[in-house]
Amino acid sequence: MDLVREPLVLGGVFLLLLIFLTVIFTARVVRGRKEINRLNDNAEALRGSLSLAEAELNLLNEAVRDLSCVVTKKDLLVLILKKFIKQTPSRKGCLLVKEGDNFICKLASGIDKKALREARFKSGEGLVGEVLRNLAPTIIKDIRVHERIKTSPKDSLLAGETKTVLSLPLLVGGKVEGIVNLYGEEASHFETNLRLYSTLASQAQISIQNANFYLQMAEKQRMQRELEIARDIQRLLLPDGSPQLPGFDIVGSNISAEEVGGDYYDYIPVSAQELGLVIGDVSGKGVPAGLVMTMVRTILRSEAPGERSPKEVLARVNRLLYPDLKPGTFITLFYAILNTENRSLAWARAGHDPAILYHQAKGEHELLRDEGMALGMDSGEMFSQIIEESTVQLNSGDALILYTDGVTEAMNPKEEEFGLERLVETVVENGEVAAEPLMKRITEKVTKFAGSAKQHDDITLIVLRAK
Amino acid sequence: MIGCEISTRTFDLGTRIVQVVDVSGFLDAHTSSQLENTLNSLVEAGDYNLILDLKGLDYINSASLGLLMGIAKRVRPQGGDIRLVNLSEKINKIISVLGFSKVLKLFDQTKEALTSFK
Repeated sequence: MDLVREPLVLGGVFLLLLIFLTVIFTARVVRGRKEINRLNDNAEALRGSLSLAEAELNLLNEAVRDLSCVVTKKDLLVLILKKFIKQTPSRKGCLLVKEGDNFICKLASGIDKKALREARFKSGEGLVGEVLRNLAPTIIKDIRVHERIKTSPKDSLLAGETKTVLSLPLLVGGKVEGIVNLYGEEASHFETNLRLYSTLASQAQISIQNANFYLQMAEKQRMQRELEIARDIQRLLLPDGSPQLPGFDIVGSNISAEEVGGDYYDYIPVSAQELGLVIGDVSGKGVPAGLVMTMVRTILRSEAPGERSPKEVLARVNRLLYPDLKPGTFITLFYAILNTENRSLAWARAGHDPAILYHQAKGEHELLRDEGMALGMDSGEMFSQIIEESTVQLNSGDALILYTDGVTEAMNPKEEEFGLERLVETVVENGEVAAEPLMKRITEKVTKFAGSAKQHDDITLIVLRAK
Repeated sequence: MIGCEISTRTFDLGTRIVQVVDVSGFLDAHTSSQLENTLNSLVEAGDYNLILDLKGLDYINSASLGLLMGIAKRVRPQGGDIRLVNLSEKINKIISVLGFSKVLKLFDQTKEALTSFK
């Protein structure tokens, strides 16, 4: 029995062992399968995120490449919106640009035109307000139920049929310069791809910053070039030195402001014993003023020789100049003719500041403020009717000071003007001083008065002293 | 930099509509374009009867004065004009030195300027 039972017992044990091993093995296999599945899942996920990362990288590379070769700011903004729209399934979105205190919709895709016309948001308004508070990409799942946005009809108009929006602020130099709104049906797309959109926004920010910088540089360079051209024009027009006159000392100077004003002075031979002295100021500044100055000089230099009446010269210059001037451009001139033989001085004033005539013997001064109007205001008839001329005999020691408003309107840091009184005072105080040192004292006094204040206009002077 | 303020008032005189443009502050290189835009849009809209009220104007640059002349040239052929009121002593002086007072009509009060358009 035992012998018979033994193999049975053995068989039973073996069976149990087999079952046990099978169970363990099966469990292992199941676990292994699970493991394999899990690994597969992981690999899938890795592949997914890898392809996402690859897509992001591609997109970014593409964005960097495209965004960095755009020349104008408008083209850049168009491209930025395109990059975003390409990723958005609904192909619907817009770009709001900050102008003053408002955000204005400048570019859009898939949005109703009527909605775009209305799309001008104040800083705190609707979705714009929400993004400005968050200063980060903001997903609104359903704008129709969002507490602060449902009350903003312009946002509803922009969204139209779609209910979800991803709003991305474009921060440049710490300030929101623009906002990209992307619309969709489902929030999940924006949630899944938030990193991609944010990366794109960062790149857009850098591109905008670069573009701003380049534009500033280009503008600065352009302005610098223009300033140099204006300065060159003025330098070409102004006399090189002072003429040597029998019985008279004469000197002139121009200290141009950083943004060159339209000041001009000149000595023009009228006859063997007569010299024309002219000082003037063209309205406006820079190159446009410089070009007008060139015209004035050319016409004056062709009209002055041989003409003994200063008002006739100015009337002719006005008549010739008027048709070629842009409306709104005018020129003030003070024109005097000095006769070195009989020591007479004749003058006329075309809207220019009155000259100062100092009579040394009496220690008195007078302002030469005869009637007249600036050139370029009237075609001729009224100009000729109004303008007057006078003549005076110059005695030894008498002085004539011609100046532009850059002298009298020079400001100090307290925004006080130098003024005509201080100029007259300087002339009277230096009544015995020769032309050149007198001019130096005037400019010194003006410069000292202005102190650290910026020079806004050209400072131009002619000083004549009878010996 | 001190800016300038510009606003417009409309007066219906029955026979004519007159636009009064109030300008205060500093009219300089930075702000003259504001006045230019205001006046240009009025003229483009067919408003040729203009009064510039300069009460509170502290400074005017040559470009802004030129602008007024340019506007006068544009509106006069249309039967309109640009007239100035409330000029400070300083601005009055600038305008008379330039001879602008010969070509632009100046008034002490807005009321007088309005009546002059009737």
